[in-house]
Amino acid sequence: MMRHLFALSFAATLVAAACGPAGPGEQGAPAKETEADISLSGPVEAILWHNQTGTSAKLLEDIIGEFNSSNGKGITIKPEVQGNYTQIYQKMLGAIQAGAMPDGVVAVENQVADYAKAGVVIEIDQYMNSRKNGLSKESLADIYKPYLDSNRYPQYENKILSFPFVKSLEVNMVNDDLLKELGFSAHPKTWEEFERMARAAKRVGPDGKVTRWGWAGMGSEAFLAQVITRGGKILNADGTVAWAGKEGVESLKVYQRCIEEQFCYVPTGFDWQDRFGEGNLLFATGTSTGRPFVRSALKKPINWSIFGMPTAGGPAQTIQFGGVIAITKSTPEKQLAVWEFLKWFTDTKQTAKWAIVSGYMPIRATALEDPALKAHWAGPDAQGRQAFQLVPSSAAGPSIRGWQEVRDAIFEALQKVQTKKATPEDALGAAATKANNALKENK
Amino acid sequence: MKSRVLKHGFLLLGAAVMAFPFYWMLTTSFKSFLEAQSYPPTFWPAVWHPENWIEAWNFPNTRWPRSFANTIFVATAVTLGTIVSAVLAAYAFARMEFRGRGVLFSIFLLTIFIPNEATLIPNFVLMSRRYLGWYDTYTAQIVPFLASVFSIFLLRQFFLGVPKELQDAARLDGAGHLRFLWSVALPLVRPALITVALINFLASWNSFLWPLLVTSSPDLRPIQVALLPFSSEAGTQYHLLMAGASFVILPTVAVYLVAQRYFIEGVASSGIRG
Repeated sequence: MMRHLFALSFAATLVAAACGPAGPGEQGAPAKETEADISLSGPVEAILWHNQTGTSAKLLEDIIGEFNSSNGKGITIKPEVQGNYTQIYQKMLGAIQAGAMPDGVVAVENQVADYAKAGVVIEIDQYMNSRKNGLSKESLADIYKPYLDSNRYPQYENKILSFPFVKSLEVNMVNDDLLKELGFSAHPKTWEEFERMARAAKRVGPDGKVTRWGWAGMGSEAFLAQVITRGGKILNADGTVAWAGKEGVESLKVYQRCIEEQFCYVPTGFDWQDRFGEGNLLFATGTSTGRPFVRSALKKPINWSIFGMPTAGGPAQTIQFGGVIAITKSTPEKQLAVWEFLKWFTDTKQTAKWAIVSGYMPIRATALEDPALKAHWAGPDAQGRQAFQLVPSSAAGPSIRGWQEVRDAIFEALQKVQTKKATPEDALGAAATKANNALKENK
Repeated sequence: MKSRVLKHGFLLLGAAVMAFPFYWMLTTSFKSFLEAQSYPPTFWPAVWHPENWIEAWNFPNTRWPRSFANTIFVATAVTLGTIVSAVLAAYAFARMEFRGRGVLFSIFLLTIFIPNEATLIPNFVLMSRRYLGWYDTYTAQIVPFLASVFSIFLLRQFFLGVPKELQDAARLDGAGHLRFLWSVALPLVRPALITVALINFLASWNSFLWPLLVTSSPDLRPIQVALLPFSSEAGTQYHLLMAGASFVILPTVAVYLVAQRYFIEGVASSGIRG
């Protein structure tokens, strides 16, 4: 039945395409018609598994409700909270085997690469470039390249297999009052300056215990950002990891000194927000989405801001990450329904609205012109704009299978240095071996 | 005298260790957002915030009454079903002679050692439309838990303790296995029954991952899943999470307090330790 419907709508699409004006995706040569070029002829319901909770979930539901009532194509997106990324992934593994997948699923890129291996996600390129249902050249150019690039999967011919959903950046937060008090007039431009400032922030109480720290937040993303800003690379051309070289070692040496000289605060969770809120932490490296939590943790008025990564011979680049949405293989109608939602959700007005309510980064440059977002960033969330300014120069981690294991290996190396169980060289050497094995297994 | 003081001191220490997480949860539920995250932690709220409980109850995307009703229904169904299946199986293993009984019981016991994680995905697949079609139903939350090897084991130990003479006497009076089980054996193992009921009720009440996996509709989800909204990628609202956790466990604490005597009796008689 569905096949017949598809054939009919496909034939109708061909006729319409032959008679009608050029579609938004037309870029010169006539593109081959695909299932992305169909028209929706009746009500379609598509299920979206996502990870948003609490207020964000409510707001997402509201935004989806707005889409459902205004799309004019009979599309109903049904959002379903399925836990965090790991829980959704677990559920997807079962759902794939059971043939009970949702029509759209929130994931991180390496999970999408796993889904691609199972052959259950569709190529979004054909939808993006569809003459009938795609994005115009201008619209595509408006999306920040790093956000689009993170959805290209090198193990799958660089095809776009997902679309940005919730995007964040690894940023540095700084207590500007404390920085000034320490006698520094500007944010650090180099890692050397960064280390010097962080060291200067350390304060020891009468009992000999450290009561004020210079830096917190050395995680896998912060490490990779340091490697890039020192001129290093994340992956070699042959697909092995490239971060274990001199740039990686130097990054870990900074961390080692920070731990040994005790100007680093080692968080056990989100407790660094508390230190920052007390005014006892100078720099914190972490996700840009943590802004509302940092704000809530301020125990006194503190002037704080967000700045990008210092450098040491490399570009001033940071790492961007966050959830994406993959469209699963279902019927052409449902696939198109999810695509239509993604197209609408990531359009200027919605991406700006979502940025305001969720704290995630908007994915389009034109979002900057949105009056509501402008007002939000000029008022209560000045740090949001500072983070957004770092987006154009950000880079995504590789969207490959096995990347989670690579991140775990880096984290393990950081732990070894932190607990003084290994030198930076040894820790990174072991981590690189582990990471390369994981990448080989997942090739 | 000295040894008695030592014994009591040791027991009090143990009780304090067991009670501390509950104390921590309750006091944190009344702290402000900042105080709940503060370091060093405070053991008593500087300023009490009873409004946290109201805020947690009204938190976006929570449906507490519905979640409570779901959990009560599922936990009750699981408990009753498990008792029926466990009583019959345990009685058979304890009081009926049949070939391969020992081997079969050993195989039953061995299944305890299979970690839940190993069976999670296969069981989830089994629930799907392709197989049983129980995905997103109460059935998926109840039926897989209706047979409990641990409960069978526990009850079997109790049934073994019922004097054989009683069974012989009942048989002389014309009672079959079911009559003996219902009229004689069950009243004698009441503490064990209550223990089994409590253990299964609590396990079902605290169930999180399985219901999250096998349901999609918020209307079918239990209270543990309802605690999800307090955590997100960027942080956790501990004060509200603890308030939510407090009213989630209150009913089970009440049930435990009522049935405490039987529970301890059951555990003590079976020689099972926590």
